[in-house]
Amino acid sequence: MPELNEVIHQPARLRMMSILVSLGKENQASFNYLKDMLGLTDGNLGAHLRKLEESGYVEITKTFVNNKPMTYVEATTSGRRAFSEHVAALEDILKVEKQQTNHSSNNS
Amino acid sequence: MNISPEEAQEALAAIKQTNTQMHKAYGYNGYYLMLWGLIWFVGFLASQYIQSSLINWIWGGLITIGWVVSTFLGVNQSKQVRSIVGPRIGFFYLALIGFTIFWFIILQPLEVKQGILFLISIIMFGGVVVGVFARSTSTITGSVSITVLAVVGYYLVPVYFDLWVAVFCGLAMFGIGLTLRLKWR
Repeated sequence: MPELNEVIHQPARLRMMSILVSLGKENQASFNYLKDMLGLTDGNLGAHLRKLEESGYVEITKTFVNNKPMTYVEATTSGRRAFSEHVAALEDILKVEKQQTNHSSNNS
Repeated sequence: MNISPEEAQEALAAIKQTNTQMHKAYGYNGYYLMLWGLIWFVGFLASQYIQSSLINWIWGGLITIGWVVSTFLGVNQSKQVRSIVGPRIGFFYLALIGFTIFWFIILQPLEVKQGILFLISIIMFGGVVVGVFARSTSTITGSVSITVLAVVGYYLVPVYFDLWVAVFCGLAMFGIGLTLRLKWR
């Protein structure tokens, strides 16, 4: 049975992983894009990214585009797997809840 | 870690909302299709009705505009999301252009319409390869469909082949691009 992931469950990180996973395997999101999408400050976003990077869920690439420093982020394979398992665990909670509700309404 | 069903529901709703936001980013690719669809439409319409050497200048101008605007769109897009396979696609296109010139030389003499169909098939072959690189089924399907439409026009209405390509390939590309933009606004 899939288990909830404490690192990913934090709301900002959950949305961050959702963005990175839905971008697809061959794509990276820029730091500014994530900042705009999530409405976070530079410091806040940086802290969440570090946490995800430490867990091995994202990979951060620093580069230059038109002589400007750019930071790109992508979900790693283990990050994608962890996110899928977390989503499956969330869905399981709702399934169990639904079954219990149906069971109790059948009994009454 | 334990959470309530309400919390689970909220988390799933947040993921769903983010995915909806993400789909808007897909609409950006619609600009490329609109641009090149319009260029094909104007270019092939001109090819159908203008017989002088002016047509070479028209195509030269249209292709230059296409490359400049595409580069601008690409640079703008890379500020948000970039593809890891982007450089590989760039090298592939450079190789394809080189080989196309080579094939054109060894395949001479070619009729103008044969040359056009040959070029369309090469460009769409490029689309299929990019679709494979980027894992985009719609790019592969679109490229194959446009090739099929061009081949149909080549054999069905050879006299109006340019007009056929302008409408059924150029306008179709523009329409698909516009649909993408409107769908993922």
